[in-house]
Amino acid sequence: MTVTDLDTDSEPLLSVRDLEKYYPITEGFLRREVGRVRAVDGVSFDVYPSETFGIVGESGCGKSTTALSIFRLEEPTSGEIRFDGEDVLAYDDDELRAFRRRTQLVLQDPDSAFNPRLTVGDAIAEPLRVHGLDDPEHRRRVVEDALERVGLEAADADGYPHEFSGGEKQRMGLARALVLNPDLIVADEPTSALDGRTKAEVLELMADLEREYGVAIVLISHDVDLVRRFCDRVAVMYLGKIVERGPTEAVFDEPQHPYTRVLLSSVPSLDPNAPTANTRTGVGSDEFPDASDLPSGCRFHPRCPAIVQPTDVELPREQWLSVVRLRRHLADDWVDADALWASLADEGDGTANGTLDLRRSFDLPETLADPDVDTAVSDAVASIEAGDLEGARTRLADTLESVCERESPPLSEFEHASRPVACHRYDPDLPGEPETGIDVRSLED
Amino acid sequence: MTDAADDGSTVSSDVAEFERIDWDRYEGSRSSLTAERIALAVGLLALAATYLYYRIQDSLYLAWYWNVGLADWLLLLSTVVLLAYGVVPLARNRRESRRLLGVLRARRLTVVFLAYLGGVLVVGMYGNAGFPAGGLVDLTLNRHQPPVWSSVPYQLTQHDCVGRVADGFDLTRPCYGTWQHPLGTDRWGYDMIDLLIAGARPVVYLTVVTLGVIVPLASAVGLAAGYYGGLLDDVLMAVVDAQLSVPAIVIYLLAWMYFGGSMFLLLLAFGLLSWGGIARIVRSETLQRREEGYVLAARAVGTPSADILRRHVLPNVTNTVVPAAFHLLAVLVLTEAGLAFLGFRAQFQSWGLTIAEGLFHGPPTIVWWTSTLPAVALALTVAAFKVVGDDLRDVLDPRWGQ
Repeated sequence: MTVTDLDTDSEPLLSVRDLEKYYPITEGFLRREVGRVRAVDGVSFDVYPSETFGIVGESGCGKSTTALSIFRLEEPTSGEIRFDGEDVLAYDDDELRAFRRRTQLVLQDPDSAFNPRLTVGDAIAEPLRVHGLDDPEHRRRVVEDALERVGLEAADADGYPHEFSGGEKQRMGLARALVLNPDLIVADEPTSALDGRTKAEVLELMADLEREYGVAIVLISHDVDLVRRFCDRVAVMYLGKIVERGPTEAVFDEPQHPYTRVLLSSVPSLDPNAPTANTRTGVGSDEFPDASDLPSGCRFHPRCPAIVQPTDVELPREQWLSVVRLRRHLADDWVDADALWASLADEGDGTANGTLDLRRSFDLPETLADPDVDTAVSDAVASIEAGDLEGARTRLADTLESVCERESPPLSEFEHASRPVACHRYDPDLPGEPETGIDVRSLED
Repeated sequence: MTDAADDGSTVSSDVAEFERIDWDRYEGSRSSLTAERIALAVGLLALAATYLYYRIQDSLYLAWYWNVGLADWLLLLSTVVLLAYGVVPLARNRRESRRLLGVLRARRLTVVFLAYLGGVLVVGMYGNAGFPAGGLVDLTLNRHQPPVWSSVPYQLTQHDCVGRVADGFDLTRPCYGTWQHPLGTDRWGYDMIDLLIAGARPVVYLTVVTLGVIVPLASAVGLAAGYYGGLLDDVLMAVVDAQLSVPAIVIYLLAWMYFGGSMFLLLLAFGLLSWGGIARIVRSETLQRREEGYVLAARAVGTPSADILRRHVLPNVTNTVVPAAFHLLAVLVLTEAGLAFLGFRAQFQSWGLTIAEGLFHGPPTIVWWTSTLPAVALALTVAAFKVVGDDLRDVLDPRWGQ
């Protein structure tokens, strides 16, 4: 019953298309909608029977909301979810109950996953009870067997949750997910609350269960390493969108989206001398945008180390990136121009109070190669000195705006990319090469 | 994947128990007939039968000397609810009951106060049903008799000392107590023991009706508002705000002017207007609990929301509901005593009224027993409510009761 190789010819067990989940931001007594948080914004993927599929991304990127929306624990705003070919969003009560039996959720925090007032046995038996297994003896048998299969003892059923460690509780969480013999388990950060060794044990247990009972597992995690070890295929999510999707090895060995590279580079290296991806404050590339106020165009562009250079801007790559850094620094929420100057002074670039100093702070030469850009930078500096930050931002944007700021790249199979990736670099109709060799640290001095 | 187990051909000892369940044979849980609901239905039917019997039979008393009024029917209804949702679950879940008993065994003080409260309730019920008007029908006219171990100036007994009187003609010569009135009598000649028994009757009504109707109502409102949110939350909390802005005591005093004192009016005024605080507490607790992982896990397996509220949210808000409910009890018992003290009595005789009689009619320091004894009973009762409320919270929580 072990299915390790992905058989893409078979029908997907779970198929998600253009899933969207927006949360309205309301104001006042009448709950007028004044904005939206786009937690999940057009996510598509398939999960095949008995495979392990990873969704990886930073916290807040919408991966947990994706899981809840698939299970209709949060009603999706729009999109299509098919389970075993059936439309999940069209389920009636009976069908939804059958769906809830065949799909299970394993939660992140084992301490909160169990009701402190119920014994472990009652908690694990609850799914059986809900789905009509009315015989308490039978329930007990199933619970004890399941406990033993996740490496615990049958007698543990009589204990209360607080008597067990985090790792034991996570095993119990898996037992609770197993008793209904599901076809699909979604595990949302199942090991992030556990320490190193327990983490490995729980992961190993999940792999065993997947093999033994042929259940498909969707692993949601911020931990690239975990996903790399556990999953057959992976989708990388950033701010509600999937930016890259494909077989795990391929995605992580040859990342194609700049964000995937950043994500990989943020995995701590074992070599203490290796340069880290930590960025200096104020550069902007480590700041996670607010999901209610998303960037225009490609959502990753304010952090992207490979932002596409407009065709009419003729600068060497180094200078282009320096100008980008200047713009990002300027884009932060400064109270006034003085605060901006102060931030530059803090960084030890001398008494930054003149044109020359601003240019030097961002490693810009006194004269830039492209005269238009040079004029723009000079005008911007003049505006800053006059205290008009917004004017400076607009002036720079007029000349330097990248396609990444204007257009959102679709997740599609481009000529140069070997798998679906959402990045303008791979669009043959747009400028910019799919520079696979981009150093993600080029913007992080 | 499930087929291998179900067709029976490959069943081996290594097939998990859960793989052998053929889910096509099961439909959703049909557990609408829980033992609690059956007990509630049986209790309500019995109550209805009792009512019919009372109307048909030819006596003022329902049983013994129990003259039942509206407050008593409310009391019986609350008792049915308490039995169905308090006693039946305990009887069914023996493991939990054993755990509770084990924890209580180690907590002497809790047991002592619980026993005291139980005693007050039993005595109060005896006062209700055991003899007419709480035993305060026949005046003995043995006024201001001292307790058995004490004495009082002969003058204060209206020259009618039941016990031994010291020799002489001095009006202030001591009159000694007797076993006929072990705790003495008040200025009307009512026996203090009868007064203490009669004074426990309001505590019975307040305790049983509060725990059986008011607190469940407040909890249900708080749970529904907190869990479902939205319009329901807005409407319910508007109702709570409205009732919090109307002081129950003012409504009771207004009603008192028109209808006179009655326990039913007191229960109605405070039952309808005093539960807003608990509803708010339950609501805010529910708002927190509903975000817990176990609620999400229950929703994910398809547990109906009524079950989630009953099994997962309600037991975890008892941490605040139990102390709040017992605090409310203490406040209500004190309020009733205060009202009776001021003369707005709800029932003939209560501890508050007895204290007032003792303090204002006769030298209070000399006939001290007429006010001190009911005051001690009242103080002990209020203290017991507070202690039991706090301790029951710990006892009910499996994390504390180790």
